[in-house]
Amino acid sequence: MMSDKTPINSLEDTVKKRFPFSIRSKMLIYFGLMFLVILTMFVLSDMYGIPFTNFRGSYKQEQSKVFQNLNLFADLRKERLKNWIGERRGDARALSESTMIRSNVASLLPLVNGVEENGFQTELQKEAPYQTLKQYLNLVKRTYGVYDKIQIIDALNGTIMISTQNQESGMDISQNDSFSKIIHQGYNEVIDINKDPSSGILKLFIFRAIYSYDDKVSAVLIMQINPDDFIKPMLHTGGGLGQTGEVLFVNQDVKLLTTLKYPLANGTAAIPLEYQINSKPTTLAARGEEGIIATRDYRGVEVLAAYRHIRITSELGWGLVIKVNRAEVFAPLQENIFYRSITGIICALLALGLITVIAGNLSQPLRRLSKAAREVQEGNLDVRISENATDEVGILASAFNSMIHQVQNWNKELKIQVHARTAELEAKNAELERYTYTVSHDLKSPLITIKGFLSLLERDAIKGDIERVKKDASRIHNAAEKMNQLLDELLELARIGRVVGVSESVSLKDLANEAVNLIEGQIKELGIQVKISPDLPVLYVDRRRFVEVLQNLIDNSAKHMGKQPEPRIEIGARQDNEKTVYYVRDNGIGIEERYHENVFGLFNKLDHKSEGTGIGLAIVKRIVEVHSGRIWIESEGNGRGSTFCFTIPEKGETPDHE
Amino acid sequence: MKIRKIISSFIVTLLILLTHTTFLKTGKAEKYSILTTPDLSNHPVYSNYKFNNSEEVVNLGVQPVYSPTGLISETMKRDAILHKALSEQGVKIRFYAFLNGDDVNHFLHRGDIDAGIGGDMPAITAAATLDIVIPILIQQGFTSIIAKHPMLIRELRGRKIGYAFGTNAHYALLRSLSSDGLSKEQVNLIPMEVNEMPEALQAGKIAAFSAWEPIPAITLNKYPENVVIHRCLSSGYIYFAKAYSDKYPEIVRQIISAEIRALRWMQSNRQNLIRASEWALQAGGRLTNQKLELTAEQNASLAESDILGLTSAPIIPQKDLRQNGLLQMEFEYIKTLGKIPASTNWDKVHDSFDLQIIIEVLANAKKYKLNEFDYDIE
Repeated sequence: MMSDKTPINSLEDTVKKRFPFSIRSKMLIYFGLMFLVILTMFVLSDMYGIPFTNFRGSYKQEQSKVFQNLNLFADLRKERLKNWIGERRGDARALSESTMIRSNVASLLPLVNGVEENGFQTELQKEAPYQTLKQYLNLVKRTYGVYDKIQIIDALNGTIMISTQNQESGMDISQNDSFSKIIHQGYNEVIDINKDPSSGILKLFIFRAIYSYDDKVSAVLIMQINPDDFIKPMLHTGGGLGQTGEVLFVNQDVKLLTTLKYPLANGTAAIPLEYQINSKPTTLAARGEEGIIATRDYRGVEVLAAYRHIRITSELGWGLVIKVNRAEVFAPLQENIFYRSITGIICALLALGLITVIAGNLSQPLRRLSKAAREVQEGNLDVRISENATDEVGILASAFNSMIHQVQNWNKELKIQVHARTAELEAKNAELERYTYTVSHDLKSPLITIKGFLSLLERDAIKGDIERVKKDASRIHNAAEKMNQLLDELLELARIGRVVGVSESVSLKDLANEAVNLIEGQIKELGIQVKISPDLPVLYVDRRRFVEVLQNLIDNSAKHMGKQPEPRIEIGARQDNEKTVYYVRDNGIGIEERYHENVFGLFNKLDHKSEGTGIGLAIVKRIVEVHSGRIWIESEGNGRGSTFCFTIPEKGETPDHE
Repeated sequence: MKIRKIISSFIVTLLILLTHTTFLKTGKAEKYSILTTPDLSNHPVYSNYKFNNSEEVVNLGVQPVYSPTGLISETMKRDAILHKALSEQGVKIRFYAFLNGDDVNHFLHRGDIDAGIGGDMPAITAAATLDIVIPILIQQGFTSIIAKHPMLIRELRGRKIGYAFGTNAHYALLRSLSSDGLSKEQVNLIPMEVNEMPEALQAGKIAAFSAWEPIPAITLNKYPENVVIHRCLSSGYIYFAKAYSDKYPEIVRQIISAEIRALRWMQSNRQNLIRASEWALQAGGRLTNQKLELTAEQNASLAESDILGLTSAPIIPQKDLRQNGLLQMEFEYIKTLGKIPASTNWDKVHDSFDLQIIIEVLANAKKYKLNEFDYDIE
């Protein structure tokens, strides 16, 4: 089933199905998307950098600054603590290696042997080395102001010989792990943070071997410090880390060495040396790693933490974690992102507005063109669009107008041609009707004659009148001959319409001479003078047919000479409006203007008494027209002679009526 | 249609990039164990070494470009007390410098050296694959990951990281990655010599590298914009071929005492530390054939804190050796790298550590002259 839609409608439907938006909407969408993609890429690369390049973006740079600050803070705390511990170790070393300590310990040790625990308070106090050492240790304690307690232990049995704290001399600490390491494992120094057995308070202990002059450990120096007095203030964050900043200080078992800023998740406070903080940064710091990490802290809050390991001895290391809530530390960055996003959105909206205007302007000529095309589609060929634009759209508009103008011209020409063809068809139709009528009428005439004479023949044959029978048979024969001639000529006429011979260049003069020769007897009999112009042009025609044309025209002129005393026929050519017009002119009876067309009709004879079938001029007209020529009559009326004119296109020339 | 083509092209490009990135990620260095270490006989430095394998010579493999180990071994090299003690036993000591512990293990395995200095990863590898004795700690310092900008470890995902295969820094790197949830498959590990790393980072060939001191310090000194993004404490040891240790226990003790002496000598006076630092820089320069861009003062400061930890006594901490302790964890990890046979038992490694030797030496301070110093400082 054929669609009743035009190709334009169908194309429009297809386009609409694929892109169900106007060109303006599409431009808006495409340019809008393009702008948004570019803007997004620009904003993202500005913020997060460009992959595989050194451009890092503002977010990364800001993040680096945050990391740097946190690292700096952690490193400062670590260095401060490490230096402080180093100083304390230096103190212990200086004391343990001092001649004063070593010589007095050497002197005191023989006196200690055999003294009971309570005897240290009474008997030894009297000894000069004891007094010297005690005074010296008290002096050191007062001078430095750091140490809670300084003690000297007998290496042999682990007894406190001297202590800056009264009532401690004579106590046995031989089971102390740190003391044991020095005595049994060869360490010259052991450091640890532990609970003071006498007070239960968390203390920093520095154990240092005191060597005798033969390089044996003779005694152990112990120096105690309260970490809350020194380490805690040292690790205090102050305002430098913001409101949520906190420092965690743990031992190698990840147990807390200071108090926490916040309560635990269950609301209780963590107890130092009892509470183990199993958060990632504390674990990493305790096991000897340093870095920065984004994770959750002991409260489950997201934090950014710098973790450091403070190596004290081969066996001892502490973990230090400086942490701050991620939300607080990244707040300026988030604010930055927020403002950038707002700026981006405003830019995007402005750009979309601008794109809408631009899309409107750019698509306007196309929309006009589309509207004009639709009007043309509806039949209005007078529509035109403005050609003001100097760009491609202007060229398109111009081409469109030119195309419509051309279509309009073609339409006009087509109408003319249709009109002409219609008229021609009508004429042909009329001719065909006439032909049918004429053929049937003219063919009927001999048949009537034959029929009539057949009756007479029958009657005369019955009578036995042989003469009459012969006459009747002769009449029948003549009628049959005429009918035969009529049919031959009709057949010839039909053949001319169907079959065209090969055209060739031939001189009209030669054609005329040949035609005159064919009817020379008739011309001579009638005394007609035939004049053939000497400078006749060459025609490009079917030679045989055009001899027939000239023969028929000369024959026709000869038959209609009337009583002309000096019958004359002239064959020539003339220039008429730059066209060559060929003619056969006679000075015969002439033809009234009203018969100028009729004479070319089939079986049309103006003089019914004249010889011939009336097909000759019809054949002439048909041959001329088959050669794309035109034939007409020029005559001023009765007795004024006739001129049969015709034109034939020259070789390669376009026919007149095409 | 054009939009579709553009989107298709974009997706195809993205896929190519992803495929390329995946390829880079999986383009790992060839794994090899100590038993299949490439032949180093054509090494530009090591090929010049003429090892004397006679019984009159003890050959010690050291690492000058490894702080503070380099300072300690260079001080030991100049220890007249050591040379005298050994000569009394008819033995001379020769020091051979190597770039990393993996190379030390290679020559120890060949029998060219009798003892060597290596970080925990080479020491564990040697303990697992060879018969050795590890009596003393020589190093407790940090290996660092250096990058161009401060960043989280997780931001190294998909990036190229320079490392020296089979070294402390290798293990430290993997430990650091795992500390922030990354596996070795999620980064692109590029094997290279440690002294090449700073320039590789600067040239953008790698995004970060993992190395032991003094390489990070040299890098930060030369390119101050670079930063340490992670540090990991690692240990180093002197270890002896077990056959040698069993045959010459006194020589082993003399060498151990030389280390303790060196530590005490450096701690006793800062000038000593700076002098040892100069020796280490010179030795490092000779080994790498390039001037190490660090002053003796800087190198000394770098070593100072690490030495301080060892001065109490360079005893291997008991807790490092306990079940599921740091060393066993590292041992298990090295097995996953294929560097040591999977069938190796931890006990073999554990039993290679002999903690009694140093206690014996420390208890006989006078015999081993731990507090006497006589160094050839010229």
